[in-house]
Amino acid sequence: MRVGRWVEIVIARLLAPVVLRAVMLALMLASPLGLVSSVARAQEPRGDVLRWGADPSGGAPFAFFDPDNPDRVIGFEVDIMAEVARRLGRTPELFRADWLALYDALEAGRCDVLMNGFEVTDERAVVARFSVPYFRFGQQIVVRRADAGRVRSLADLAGKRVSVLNGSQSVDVLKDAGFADELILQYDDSLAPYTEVALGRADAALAESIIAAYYAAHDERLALVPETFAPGQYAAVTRKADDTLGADIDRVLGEMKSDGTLGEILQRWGLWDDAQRGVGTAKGRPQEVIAAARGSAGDSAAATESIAPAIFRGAWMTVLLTVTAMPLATAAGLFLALARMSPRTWMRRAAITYITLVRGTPLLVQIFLVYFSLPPLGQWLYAAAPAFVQPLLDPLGGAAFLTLPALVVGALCLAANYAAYEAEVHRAGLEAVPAVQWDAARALGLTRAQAIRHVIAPQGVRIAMPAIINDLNSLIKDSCLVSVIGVTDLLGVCLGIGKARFSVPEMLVIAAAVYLVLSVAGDLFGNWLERRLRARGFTTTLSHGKGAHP
Amino acid sequence: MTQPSPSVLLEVKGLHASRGGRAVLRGVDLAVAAGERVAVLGANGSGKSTLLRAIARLDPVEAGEVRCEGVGLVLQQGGLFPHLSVERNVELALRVVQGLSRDGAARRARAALARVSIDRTTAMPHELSGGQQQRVAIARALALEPRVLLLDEPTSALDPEATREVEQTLRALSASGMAIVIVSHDLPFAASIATRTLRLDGGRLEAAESRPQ
Repeated sequence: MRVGRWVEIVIARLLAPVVLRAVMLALMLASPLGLVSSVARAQEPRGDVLRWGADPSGGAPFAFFDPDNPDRVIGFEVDIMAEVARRLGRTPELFRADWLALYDALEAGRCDVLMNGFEVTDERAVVARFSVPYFRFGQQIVVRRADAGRVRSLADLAGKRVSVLNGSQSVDVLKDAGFADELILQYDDSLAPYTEVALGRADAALAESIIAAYYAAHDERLALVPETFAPGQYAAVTRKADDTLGADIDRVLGEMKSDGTLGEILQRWGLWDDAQRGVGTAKGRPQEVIAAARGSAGDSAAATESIAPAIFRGAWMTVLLTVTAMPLATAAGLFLALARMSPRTWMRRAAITYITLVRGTPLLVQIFLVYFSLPPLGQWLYAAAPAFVQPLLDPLGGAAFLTLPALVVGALCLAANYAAYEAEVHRAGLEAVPAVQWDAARALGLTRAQAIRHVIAPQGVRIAMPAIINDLNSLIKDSCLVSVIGVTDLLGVCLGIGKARFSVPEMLVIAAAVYLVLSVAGDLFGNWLERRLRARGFTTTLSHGKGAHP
Repeated sequence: MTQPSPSVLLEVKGLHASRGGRAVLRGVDLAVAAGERVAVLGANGSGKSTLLRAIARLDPVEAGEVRCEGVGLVLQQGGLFPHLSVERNVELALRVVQGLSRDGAARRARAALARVSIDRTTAMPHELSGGQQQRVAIARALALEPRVLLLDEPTSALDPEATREVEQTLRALSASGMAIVIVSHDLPFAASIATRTLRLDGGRLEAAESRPQ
């Protein structure tokens, strides 16, 4: 099963590759044009719901899937936000997205505030507004158990390879301590730095104490170096323009610190230490009282059968994405293929441009870009629309009419991407229809469009069907990429449970097995469809009584 | 220019046409009257198919003129639509081109199929014999009520029995006043069915020597 951990690292790196940062950069570059952020900033928070952003796949103890009930997200930040919202008279609603995408989600108005281990840094304070801190941490080293006595500080790691979480403050701490770039191994996945130490590919992991302590405690191969250093602080993040909410959160967090509520939440999660007094947090009731009230929340061994419904829902999400995206892709691909074969030059060029662009860029990037460009684009379109159009859009959400749910955006992106591939499949099918079929249609007096619709396309689609079924099979697995915008599909659910229970390899095997079942089901459907087409012919729109009178 | 006689349904004068960049028709003259069955013979590549395609306006005409009163073309191997049943094959143009209702198209299609003695109207083309397929292709052209019927190698893939079926069908059609032009390699068939036999040679049509029946 250890090989599985390695597989998980590969997958984690596939899911959040370097390219995402290029997307962020592109979005930031778009900001001066006013396309992405300036319009988004104008959007006011919605009513009495407080939407707060976090990435549950980031792991414990911040906000993570409950090992006993993978449908639920728990964590000390969940508890803090619940209390903040309660004191503001609002209902907390978790907005889920990949950690790297959270800031853009905030700027795009998809959520009102972020609370997910965001360290206060000068760089970030330029673009976003930090609240008063709610947690103080230090940097802490994790080593293999055998090295436990030998490493006491960073100085003992000179010349060694140290693994860190990509984009975390630990990277800067290592650089300041004089570590060369090639000795700093950065991972996008929160679990990967520790796995790498356990496997011997890194000599130590450096992380914020809260994370380091949690992971070191859950892997018997690892040990925590007691000393902490280079202190930092976590704070909630709001939009700079949204000063009212920022001030409200500051006030409420201040109250929670002084009356002991925040201290109690930290105690309940075993995160209390005296350093917290440094940011003004008072200790709450005695630890034992809180621990008794906490019950069995920390017991991750129980209730194996309770993961089945979550996996089923994840699989259902994957099926839903596939059965909506594939028919759309097949239909759109046919139109693209016909446009590509059109006698009109501009149509051919438009189709070729679309196919080249879509096939030439990663699906992951497309999903990201579309998801975060749609809301500001919608606001811009709404603002630019003539006065009589706006009332028509109001029932659809007004300026937010393009702020579509992640599932819808995910399905549309998959469809748009696969359409480019289906276009080429359809083109091969259409070109394989014998020339005599064109002649026969024209000899009967059909126009080019009528011939395509009633004679050529139905036969071309039938010829292309095996290749289309092949792509259906591929789409079932590619659909997991939508997890970056927070859709909890099969892989997302399984990785979430795996990280929460420290059983990632086992959960990946389960995920693979369910994907295999879905894939075989897809193939059986394809075989049935092909048999049906072969046996009964492919009845055109004519038999449905449509389109007979052009 | 002399006024053509009323019974002449197809008249071709000085027709020039190319195929694949090669001039294959160099001044073809042809007049076919109602009830005539004209067979056009000629070597491979002599331009027989091109002549029919030019008359049916599938290919552009470079020079000359074609006067024709409603023409139907039956392509080599029939050109049936494999994804449509026999009746849908015949109904398609009636509904899409002529805009008939479903019932109207079905009625005309059944009548056309009856004229070529096909009763398996719901079968798929591949379920029929070669001769039946050829007759369905003829019915598909007939349904549009042409006065001139052009057939390209109608017997090329048929056994003697099927060839006889097609011949009977064509005789019945010309008896009802249709003008028929058949392009063929099949000399016995052409000799048997034609009221007049022509040969396409050097891009022009000329009368073939008459053969004993």
